Amino acid sequence: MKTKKIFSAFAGILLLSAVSCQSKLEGLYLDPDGFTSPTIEGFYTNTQQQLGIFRYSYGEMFHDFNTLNPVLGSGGFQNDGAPSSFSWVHDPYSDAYSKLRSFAAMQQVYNGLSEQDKQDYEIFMWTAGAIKEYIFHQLTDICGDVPYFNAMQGTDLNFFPPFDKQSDIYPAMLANLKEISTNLDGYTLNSSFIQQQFPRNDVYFNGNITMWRVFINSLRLRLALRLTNVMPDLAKSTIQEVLADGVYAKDRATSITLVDRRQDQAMELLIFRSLSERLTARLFVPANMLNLMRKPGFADDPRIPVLFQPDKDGNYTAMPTEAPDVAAIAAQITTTDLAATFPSMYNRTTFERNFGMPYQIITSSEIHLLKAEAKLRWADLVIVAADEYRAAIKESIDIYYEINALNTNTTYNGYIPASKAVKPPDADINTFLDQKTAEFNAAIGNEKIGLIYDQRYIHYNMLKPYELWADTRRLMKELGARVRKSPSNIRMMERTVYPTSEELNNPTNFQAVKAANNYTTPVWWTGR
Amino acid sequence: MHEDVTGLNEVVVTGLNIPRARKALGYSQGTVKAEQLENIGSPVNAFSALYGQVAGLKITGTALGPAGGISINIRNAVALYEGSTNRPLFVIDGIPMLDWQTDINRSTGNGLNDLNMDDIASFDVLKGAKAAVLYGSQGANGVILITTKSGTKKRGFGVDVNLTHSQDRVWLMQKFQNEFGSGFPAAWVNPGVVDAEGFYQKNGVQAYYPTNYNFGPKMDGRQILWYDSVMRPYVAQPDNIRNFYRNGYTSSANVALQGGGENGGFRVSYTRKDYKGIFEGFKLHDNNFTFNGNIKITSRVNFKLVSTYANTFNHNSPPTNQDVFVTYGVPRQLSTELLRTQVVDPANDNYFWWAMENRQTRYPTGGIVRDGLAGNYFWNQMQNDYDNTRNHFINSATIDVDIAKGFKFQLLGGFDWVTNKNEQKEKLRRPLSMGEGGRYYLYNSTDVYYNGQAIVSYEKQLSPNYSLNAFVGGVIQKRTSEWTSRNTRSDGFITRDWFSFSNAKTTPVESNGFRRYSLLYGAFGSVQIGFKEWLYLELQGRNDWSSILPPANNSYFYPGASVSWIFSEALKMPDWVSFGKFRVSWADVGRPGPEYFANNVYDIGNYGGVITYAPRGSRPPEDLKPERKREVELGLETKFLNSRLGLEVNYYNGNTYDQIMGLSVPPSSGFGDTKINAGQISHSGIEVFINATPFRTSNFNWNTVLNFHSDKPKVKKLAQGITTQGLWGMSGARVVAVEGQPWGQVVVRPYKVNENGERIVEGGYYSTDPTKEEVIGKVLPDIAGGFNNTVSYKGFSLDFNIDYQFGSTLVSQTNMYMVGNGSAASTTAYRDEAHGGLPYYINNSSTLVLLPSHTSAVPADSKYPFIMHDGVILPGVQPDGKPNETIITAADKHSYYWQTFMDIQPDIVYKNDYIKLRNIVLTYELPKKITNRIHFDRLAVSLFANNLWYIYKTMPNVDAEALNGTNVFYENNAFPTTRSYGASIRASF
Repeated sequence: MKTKKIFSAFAGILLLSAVSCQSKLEGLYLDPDGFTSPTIEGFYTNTQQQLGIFRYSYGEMFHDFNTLNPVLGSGGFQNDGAPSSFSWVHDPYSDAYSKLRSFAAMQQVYNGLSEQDKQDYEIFMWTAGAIKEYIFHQLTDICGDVPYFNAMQGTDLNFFPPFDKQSDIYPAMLANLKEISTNLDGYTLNSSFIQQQFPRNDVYFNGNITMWRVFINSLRLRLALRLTNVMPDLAKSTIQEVLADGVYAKDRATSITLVDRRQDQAMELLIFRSLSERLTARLFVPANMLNLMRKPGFADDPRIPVLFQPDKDGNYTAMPTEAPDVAAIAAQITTTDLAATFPSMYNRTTFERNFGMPYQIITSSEIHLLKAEAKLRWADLVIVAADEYRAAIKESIDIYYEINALNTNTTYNGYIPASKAVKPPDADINTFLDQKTAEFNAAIGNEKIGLIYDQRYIHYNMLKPYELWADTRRLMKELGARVRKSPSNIRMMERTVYPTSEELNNPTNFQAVKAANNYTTPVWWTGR
Repeated sequence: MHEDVTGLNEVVVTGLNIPRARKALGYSQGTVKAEQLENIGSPVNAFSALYGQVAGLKITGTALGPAGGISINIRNAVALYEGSTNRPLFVIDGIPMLDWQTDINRSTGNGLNDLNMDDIASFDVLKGAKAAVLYGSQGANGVILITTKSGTKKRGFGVDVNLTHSQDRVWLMQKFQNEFGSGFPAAWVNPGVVDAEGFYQKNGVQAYYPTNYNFGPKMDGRQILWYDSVMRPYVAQPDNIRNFYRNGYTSSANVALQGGGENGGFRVSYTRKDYKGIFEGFKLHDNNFTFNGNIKITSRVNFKLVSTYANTFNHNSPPTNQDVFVTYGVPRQLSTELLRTQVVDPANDNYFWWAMENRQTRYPTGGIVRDGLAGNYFWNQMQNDYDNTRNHFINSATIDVDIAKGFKFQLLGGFDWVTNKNEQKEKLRRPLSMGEGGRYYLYNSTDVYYNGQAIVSYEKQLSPNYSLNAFVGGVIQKRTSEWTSRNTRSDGFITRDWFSFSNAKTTPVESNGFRRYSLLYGAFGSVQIGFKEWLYLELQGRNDWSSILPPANNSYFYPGASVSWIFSEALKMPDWVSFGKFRVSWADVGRPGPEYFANNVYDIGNYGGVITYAPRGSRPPEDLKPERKREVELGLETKFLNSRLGLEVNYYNGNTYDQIMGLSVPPSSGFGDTKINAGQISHSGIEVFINATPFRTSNFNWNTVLNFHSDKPKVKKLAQGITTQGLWGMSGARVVAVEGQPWGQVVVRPYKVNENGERIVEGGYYSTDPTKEEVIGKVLPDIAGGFNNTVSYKGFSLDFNIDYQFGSTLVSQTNMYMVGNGSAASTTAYRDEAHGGLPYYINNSSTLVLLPSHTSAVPADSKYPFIMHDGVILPGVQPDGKPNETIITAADKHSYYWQTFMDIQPDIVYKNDYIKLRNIVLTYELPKKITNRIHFDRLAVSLFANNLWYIYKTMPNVDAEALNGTNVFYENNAFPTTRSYGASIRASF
């Protein structure tokens, strides 16, 4: 009996200690510094603030300036005449999917919610869905066919999505954006705790549903125009739908521009550092752009002093485009003193040292030019092309002056007072606009679209390379060399290659795109 | 100094510190007795004495040499995930040691560096799975058991003294060209920058070209205007890079006192080590106290305590300074002696010479010489402090109790405790009135590995023929790791050089921290049955419960079995067979994953005050299991001719499975990789160990040991249709595991060729094909081993140790960049007419046009007022198939190897085979009759040399062990190797 008791006590102690051991093991399993209970709200804000969606990131722009400025003629450089060999260190492919990671995590959490919670969170999901399409349109424009329909499903062990055709992705993106736009039409936030959090977590528009519709509809317009060569009917019907809806970027108030909320990190993480580091290599005033802004017989484009800053002699001088012309002025080129360079540079006050600048996501100028082009393509649209053309230039002048004026920093190294531009009187601007409108009206055939392209070239300049690159490639079919602003020795880069790891990590699916894995095969919507 | 397989009745320490008769072991175990190594000197790192000593044990240094970490690997253990360790478990006197991988950037090595050779009695290397099975989830990479010296009663005072000093000299370095100085060819610059002879023009005279690239004019001794506006002869400085370094030394003094009697013994020892590195400012001081005592408390209870305390102070271990040492190069005409006088400026309150008097602008040199060399090397190493103080306690206490006849109980407890303090003090280089500066950084860490184990054993002779030896026990281990750091922000100090956080311009100062904990419980048991002392069967097993694994699934069992058959006892053998044993073993052991590996956790942040959650790019495993290795080992141990010839051969075949992998997946899946247990790597290897005494007379003896290990880990399977897995630790190339291929292949982008295999030349240049990859080698050797000898004559003995390895490839950025920046000897090709350069001119369209002769007149459309002589036309064809006719400059050809993203080209990757005479030691042991007369028990004097000679070496310009760390496979440092010569005196009295 006694033995039995002792045995029981011993067994009891053993059991207790086993339980306590197990709980000690469990207690140490998780990383004390790893967070385990995230929410949709936090993923949502993270989706919005990913570098490279609205805030142009340092690394990306650093390489973009190097590769795309010569290809698009949007940044002057010391052209040595060597034939261009393609290379782009930025990897937009991996970058785009990593930006989508928080969206996929949102989706994952959302799928596990109750029906009631799902309803309250739908505003988060819809608006994040629009950001997803924004990321995808940029990606497919650069890479052509990419995984879209089955992408981002690694959590469910689907690691190897097939490459979807751009011709399937575009209609799907447009359909999705249309659906989101419809869902948001007349939508108001309810009084639930979840929905009351939305304005705080929506760092783009602070819960303003109408601005979301402006963004989504304007994006639909941009996507529609990409299809002029390949799906003109879908392009036209989409444009008609949005025009009928009436909610899109029309003026400064409805232009989609966003201001960074972490300006303390701006120089380290964002475009400013790339501008600073590439300034003397890739950001001289490009001659082709300055020539367009200073046409004989026309008033100077009022944007010259906001886009560019004067050289050592107080003049706006351009870096020549072709190598022999560069060689001819080689001895005069100087960048040692940034306050006295030759030739002129992009305006450092407007761009390089302006951490509070509004990022131009979709501006009214873009939409005005888009509408003008649409009218030229589909005469039955109720649009006055010349008015749109004029408004585009005017609003472009306005926004660049606005941005330049925002910057009050006059103490950075190499600052020159002339980089703070004084806006000309309205009368002068109107004279210029009248001349430009007259030129547009006088143009015949495709030249009108050519002029529209020129305005895109100036408006986007080096700041928005992806938009300029897309329009260049799209219009090359109809306008050919008319839309080429690069030196003659720089070939057109039509797309970029997939990361080398793709062939290793997704080998079967990769076969479908292997033939186009180069820099020279035009993407589908170019129609070439 | 040899692995010992002799001793029929030898007792060795086996797993969990359990002593066993060697003959009963059913597996291979390498034992190295310290007395065999004592003559090598007092290595800064005790493990560096083990080169080539044990078949299957591979020691590889890093470029930092003995003061840094060391890579130790048994049987080519590899992993598929960087966080999985491939290092063996180190156990000292029964206590597992803290151990971690190290790099070479101001590295102070790890805790193993603190072990002192003079206090070590033996190393036992448990190589295979069965040998290590009692370590369960920690046994897969093998185990190294370290036993410290214990004390016994000795004659005289019981004092041992060992004094050693060696001089360390720069030995292996790059081979440079000494014909052309810094500069650019005329074709690279605008007309007027250089003259017809290629000289840079400053103030109208020929001047020092302010760049680091050595594509300038020939150094012919003429006077030119130096960067500091003084005329000096333009001559090569063949030793300018050698002069970055100085002579170093290693000195060590060890005093040990020991004694004892019937009831126990003790040994207490103190060692002081001083090391002066070849790098400016680098030094190391080490104080080491060891106590090893045992006492019979009662007739049944014995208590043993081993306690080691090491305090190491490391000052200015060198940083990797790739910009200067590797990437950009240093002008061949640069005088390092002159530059050394241009570091500190005494005329300006000892600020940085280049920061004062506007010299940066007035004296253009290029940023590499000024900031990289004068600033980041000389100034930082000589003016700043980068100090590490490491306190290292290892304690092991054991109580042995004779419970009853045959029953014994052992309780062992202890810990390995390491604290590190890193303190960095960076002085202002210029007055605060000129700009921000100064930095203070303080880092503190504590790492502890606690271990407690209890064993009950039973031993009985069951019958005249059968014996039983059994034990059961349990183990508890806890590991904690914590650090915090603080540093002043980038705006630096308020006042000059006061190293306090109170002096930070911006407060609070930046601070960071980290913590990591894990816990392990284990239970084990063992049964060994012996038959007639010539057949032994052993069954062992261990179950581990680990906090690293998901709680639902954290228990795993590791079994093992072995048979040992001493056929020389069982069968009638000819006389010349002294001993023969055949053994076979099988076991399944594990390797713990890194802590928190399977955690599904998120990063947290804020954007403008709004909370953000970020998923990680790595998908955690659904259900993590430990990595495991299952291995069969067959072994033959024989001795012939009165044990004058011994041969041990092991064959093993293992399969590492359930490996932790960070499986690279397409980014379109939403992850960069997914962590899973998958993947199998097969190992099958042979170890051969021959020891012989070819000559033996009363006065003369030659002992020789040859060992050899061959093992090619092969990737049998990855996972889920994945056939290639990217590995880690490479720069400029990729290391991959490809299904069906050897582990660790190195792949690079091949040159573009046409269908006939001819190199394609575009615009005059070759280029690599970004869409293709080609295997150019692998990171592990196929074979490695050692050849160790002791020749003794009367009181003299001569030891020489050779080790070798064949079959691996070392990616060396140094070899690439020194061509790319024009410093390599090979880059003199085509630089001028004498070196085969072609004549050409550059026309107004900037096109290079071939000329018929070096004396051709300057054509009318020439952009420059002279013709050039450094043209070259690369052999190859244009994309359209026509032969290449485009002329480029010699500098263009060579500088092609200068790649912004370090992508190395296939023609500049070398095999890393070597045979090395690692050391020679000559020792004279004074005869007893003399030592007795002066009341010494022993007196021996040794002369030694380490790193003596590469008998064979394929790797140009850098050492075969020039690696950038213990877990990487490339070189990007150009640190020279040192050779040391020294002497030691050993005395006992």
